Amino acid sequence: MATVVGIAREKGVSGYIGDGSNRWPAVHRLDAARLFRLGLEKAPAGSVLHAIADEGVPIRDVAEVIGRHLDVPVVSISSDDAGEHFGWLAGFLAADSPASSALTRELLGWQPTHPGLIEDLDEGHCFREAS
Amino acid sequence: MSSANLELVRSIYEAWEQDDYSSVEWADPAIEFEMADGPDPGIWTGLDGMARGWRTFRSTWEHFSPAATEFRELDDEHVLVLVQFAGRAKTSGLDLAQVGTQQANLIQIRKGKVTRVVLYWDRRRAYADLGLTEESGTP
Repeated sequence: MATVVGIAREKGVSGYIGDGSNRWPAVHRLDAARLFRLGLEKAPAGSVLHAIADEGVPIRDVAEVIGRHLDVPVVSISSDDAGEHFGWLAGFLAADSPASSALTRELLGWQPTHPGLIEDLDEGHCFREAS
Repeated sequence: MSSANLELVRSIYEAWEQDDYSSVEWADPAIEFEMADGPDPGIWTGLDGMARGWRTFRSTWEHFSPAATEFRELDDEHVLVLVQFAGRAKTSGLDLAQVGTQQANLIQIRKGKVTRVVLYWDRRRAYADLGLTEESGTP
């Protein structure tokens, strides 16, 4: 997220690609850390675990929170211009990658408790510049 | 000398494209391995450092391959390799072929040994760092 915020700050706009309906899964790092511990302690060898709280956050919603906190316009970037605007991140930012952690939760009894991506962004941690 | 550098770099990529990272005879012991951008930027030094850097990078992907599409000899010491990363993210299943970004690697060679490898996820950044244009491909 820091990279996305940095691009918005540098470009003066908070962008999303196309209509921004593509989704990213997300998890708070503290929930991920707890799952990591549970995985080490309880998961059968070879298990694939999904540390996912938000199954799919539309990228446009992410751009809107960033735009609001940086006080910059929220704009759609065309696929053709995405590489120029977002650099290496363009392809990842265009991906629609919803994912579920239902099996992981069932296997380990893991339940995320920390804020979701939009709520966490809205708390403002990502927008404080190093002094 | 110039063609020797190109041949050396081609031979390295032939191995990497076959998922063979076992040989480091081509590398200077003090080699610098850098990921200039992307999800895990960083600089590693020495043969052990390069191995750690590659492991960090490749651990995210299944069937990772840096397919070289073009080799450009920039001067007596530098070869720019235009590459297309291929692979699939182990957990999300994200396919690098669908990511669409074009990559580039810069290889520096001195006295027949590679002294620096720089991986760029974004080829445009490589061109910018090197003062190149996509059209000219040379300084």
